[in-house]
Amino acid sequence: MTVKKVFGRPESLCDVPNLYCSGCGHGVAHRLVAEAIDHFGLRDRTVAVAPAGCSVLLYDYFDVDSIESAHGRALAVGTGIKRANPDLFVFTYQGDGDLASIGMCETIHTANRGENLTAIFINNAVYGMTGGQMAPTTLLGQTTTTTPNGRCAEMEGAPMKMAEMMATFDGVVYSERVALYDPRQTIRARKAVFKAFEAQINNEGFGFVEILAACTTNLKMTPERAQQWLVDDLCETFPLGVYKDVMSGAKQESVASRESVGATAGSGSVKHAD
Amino acid sequence: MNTVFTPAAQRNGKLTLVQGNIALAEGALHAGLDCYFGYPITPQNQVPEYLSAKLPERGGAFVQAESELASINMVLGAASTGARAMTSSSGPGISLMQEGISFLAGDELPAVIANVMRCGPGMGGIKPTQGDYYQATRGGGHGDYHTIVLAPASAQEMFDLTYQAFDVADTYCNPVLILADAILGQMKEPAVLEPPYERKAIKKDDWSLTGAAGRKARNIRSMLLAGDDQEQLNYKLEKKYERVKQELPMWECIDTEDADLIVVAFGTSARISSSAARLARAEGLKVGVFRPITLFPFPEEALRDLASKVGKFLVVEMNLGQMLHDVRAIVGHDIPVSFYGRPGGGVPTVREVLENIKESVS
Amino acid sequence: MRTELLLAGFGGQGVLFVGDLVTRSAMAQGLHTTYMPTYGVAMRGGTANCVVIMSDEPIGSPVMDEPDAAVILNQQSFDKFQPSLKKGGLIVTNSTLVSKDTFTRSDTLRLVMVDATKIARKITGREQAANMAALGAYLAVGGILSYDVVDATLRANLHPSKQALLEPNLETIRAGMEAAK
Repeated sequence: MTVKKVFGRPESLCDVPNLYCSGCGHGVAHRLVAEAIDHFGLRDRTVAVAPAGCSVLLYDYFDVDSIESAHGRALAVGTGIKRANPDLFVFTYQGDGDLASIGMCETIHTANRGENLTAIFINNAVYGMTGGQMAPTTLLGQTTTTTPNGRCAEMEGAPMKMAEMMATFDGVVYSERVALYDPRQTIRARKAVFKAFEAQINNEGFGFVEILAACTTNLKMTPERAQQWLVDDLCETFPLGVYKDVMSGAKQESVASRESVGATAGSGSVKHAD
Repeated sequence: MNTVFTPAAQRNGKLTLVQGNIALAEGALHAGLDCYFGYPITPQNQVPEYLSAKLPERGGAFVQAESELASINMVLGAASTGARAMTSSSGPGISLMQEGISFLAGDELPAVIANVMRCGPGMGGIKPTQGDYYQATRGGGHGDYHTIVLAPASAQEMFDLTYQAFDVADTYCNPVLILADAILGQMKEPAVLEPPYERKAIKKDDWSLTGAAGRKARNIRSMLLAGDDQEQLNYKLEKKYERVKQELPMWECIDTEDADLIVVAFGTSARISSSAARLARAEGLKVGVFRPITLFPFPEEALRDLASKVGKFLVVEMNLGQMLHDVRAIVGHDIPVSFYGRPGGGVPTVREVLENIKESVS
Repeated sequence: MRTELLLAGFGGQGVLFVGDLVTRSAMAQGLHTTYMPTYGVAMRGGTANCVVIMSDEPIGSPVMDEPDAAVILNQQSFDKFQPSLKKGGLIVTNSTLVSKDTFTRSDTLRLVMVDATKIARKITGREQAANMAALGAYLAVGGILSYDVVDATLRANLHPSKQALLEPNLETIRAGMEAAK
């Protein structure tokens, strides 16, 4: 009897224990990215750019060349790598503080230049590594170590919606928001990462995937409770969906979904992915 | 070793009247510059303007970045692939880059950064200064590190030292700073825009990020959390700086052999001082000039050697006394070191320096 | 021999162009030379000036200390820079725009006035060439650069798009020389 292997560790992930907190989204997100690297055969020409944040440790997990960037500067570092050697496949992996707060300027300008890069954006609505402070994506009313009474729009502003914002730049060819809360959504997330990778492989421009994930430790929630929070709270403020797909071969349907998003961005009535 | 490049007028080769900033850009192009990233700021704008046309023609990459923060981190990214990468800026822009320069030093990545100094602090002005000496020679950003600092004093040296800076950066895997000023950047002077020596081929394939084909994956980082790795990195860097101090110091001695007084000055100040020293000689005073060309490593031994023969020193700077403290530390407390400087865009005149020479020598 | 030459006027009078031409000519004549444009706050006032240093020895300071000579094209610059010239120095100025009554250093400076704007208008039909007439006057009395070198340098360096201006400009330089004699 022959046994067919149907599930295993992606080759571009190292065979090491996952030291991220239980319930943390990085483990699954790393895996999805690694699957995409394997699928497209990119391992030998990939450079990963790590942010400041828990995922600075991604070099412990990915079996690809990688570089650490200063807080917020991953996309500038990525731009330098890609411009110096356009044959390399370059992705950044950044959290909400990195990409949407301290690195917002780099994020916007890299997107606007249409750098042929892929940004994987992990939005967990909190600063993880530094101990649970308010992030640019912290929900209104959400308690953090620097918003003890909950985030209040008048004082701290409203959560920043990156997938929507990225869709407004001409240089962005793909922008989607996905979430890691059940197998179905995880498969959608996998597809989104594949799409954004394809954009770079085909030299089409900037691809952006926002992945909603949980930081169980700083939310002070069990993994199960955190998954529910993702569905009930995070997804409500950050609607899932394809916000832009102008890749060649993009289906008519996607373009329509982009147009409907364009007409209603910010109103909350965005077309859901499911 | 002390390499002083031959002045333009004594060189074989075609003299071109060239602005300092353009000479600097040409030096980089001749060194095989692959990537330039920069953000506009006076008085160095001719560098990006010139390279925006010339670099893409040669297949290189030019990006006008969204800020100096982005520029220096683009430089870091490009450098990590083994490319010859540079940026240029001034005053506030160089301050913004300090975090990135610290990363370059910690990551041991070669890169060239030109600072065409403008006066500060704060927004300051666009007039020349040497007020960034401390920032340049002490590291400038956070952590225990040094950039290698080259201080040109002519259009010819803007070309030569920038050309050389890439080799120095590659040799030591360290950021190299060209410390010029608004006068050197804006001034036009005849120069020979031909490399003073043949470019070195320095291997980078044992550390650069090229995709991990056929080898183990590499990671470039300066955050070392395991055990005492971070401490060990600092020892390793220190060892490298010691090597740099042994191998790299460059300086120029002008009429120092019989001098009773030596003026120590770099860059534009050295040129003003050399004019003043010449006038002093005409009045019968034996005055020489010691010009450090590398500010880190400072040519300590050469200066100490002079201090064993010469009784008096005068330091002249376009600031209120920064290199002064290095000179005092090197020559020791027994030898008088006086100072003349002007800050905030003030440029010492030849007559002012001459007066100070007379006061110091008496 | 080190000569510091200051060139000043208002923006658009081509002062920096003449400075550049003088520097290139000095280089062609085998002299050491530097050119330093004044930039910054002074530019916003509408005046433009630059300093050319010429010497038979390597040039130490590229910074103007005390100009030996000045070519000045407008009244504002004349008033501003007249006091800074070295005793025994030379001012070449444009009598079309600068009043002789404002010359206060007749005991210490040599003044050469030529109708630069008028000469330029007469030969080229344009006032812009006043800088060439003033340059001509400086060549005649400055005693450093020869006309032939300036002629050759201008021919070699004038932008191809401006070749039609070459001969009129050279003629204006010569007329400026004549006027200064």
